[in-house]
Amino acid sequence: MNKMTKGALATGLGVALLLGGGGTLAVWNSTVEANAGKIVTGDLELTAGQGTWSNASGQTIDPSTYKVVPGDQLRFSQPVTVELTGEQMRASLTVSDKLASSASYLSVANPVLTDVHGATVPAELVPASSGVYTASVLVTFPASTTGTTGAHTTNDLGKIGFKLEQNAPTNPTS
Amino acid sequence: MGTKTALKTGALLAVAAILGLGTVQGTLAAWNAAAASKTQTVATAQFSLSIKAEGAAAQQLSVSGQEVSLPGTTGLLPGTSRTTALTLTNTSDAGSGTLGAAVQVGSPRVSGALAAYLGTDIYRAQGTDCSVDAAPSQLELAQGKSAVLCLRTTLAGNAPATLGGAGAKITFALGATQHP
Repeated sequence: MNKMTKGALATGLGVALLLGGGGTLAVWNSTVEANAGKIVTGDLELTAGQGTWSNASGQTIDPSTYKVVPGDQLRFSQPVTVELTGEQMRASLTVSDKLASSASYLSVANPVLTDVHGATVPAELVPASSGVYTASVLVTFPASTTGTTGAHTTNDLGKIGFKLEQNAPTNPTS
Repeated sequence: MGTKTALKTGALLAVAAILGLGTVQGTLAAWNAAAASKTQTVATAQFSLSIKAEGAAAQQLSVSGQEVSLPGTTGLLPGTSRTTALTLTNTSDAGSGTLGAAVQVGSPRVSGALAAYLGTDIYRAQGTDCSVDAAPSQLELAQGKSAVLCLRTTLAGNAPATLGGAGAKITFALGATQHP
């Protein structure tokens, strides 16, 4: 009896020791899934519309057939549509390329960028600022032109370009 | 001791990661979009006049001052005059349609064998009637409009018979200024 007890005790102790080792046995674990929801990205879009030309009287003209003379002044208006989406979306709209003439007798002014109300475009646009903006350029054939300088010629003024660029958020997520 | 070392290493790694993110953020690209108009051109007008003698085609007057030859008159007898109607037209093509011309008409000059016996003058007709001398040397032509100039030549009564069949060249200059 004593031997049996002793053996059992020995066995139990050995088993207990193994249990205490612990590092090779699985521990309780549990998993659960949580629905984190969807992330929808914002948007930034810029679209050029149809540009138009008008003369000093405000009449819309076709520059391919309307020929200017010294003293004439034409205005080119180019609309662009801005679409901004996103809680932290902030962006700047600028003119990246301007109309220009290589002919010394034509004067091409810098573009003026305004909103639909004629106000200067804000330095920073937000989603609520989405809408149409217009760049306006004045082209003048000075009345002081002498002789027949510049008569009967076609002048390439190039394109007017726009850039809409996101301004980095001030409090990015970490 | 092993545990402390492990914890310390882990903390350093975490700090390094945060620093790393902070550095990279400055170089992240932002969204941007571009748009442009079509290529734009502007054309300038032609400032020009044409002149037409009776029975002949109209000829464009060159800004370079090149002479235009017009049909002359023949059979002029001593002591007689002949008048030639010349239609002057403002053929400018300004888009506004308002490119007028103030035309200065120079006095005619005669050269050739008959120069000493041929008198000339030029004047504006009353409408198209050269029998009436309406106005002298300057006239204003709106774009697309015309006026008649009358060139009158008179052979002196004392022109010798030896000059029969001789000819003469009559020239006159026209100047145009944009008006208004």
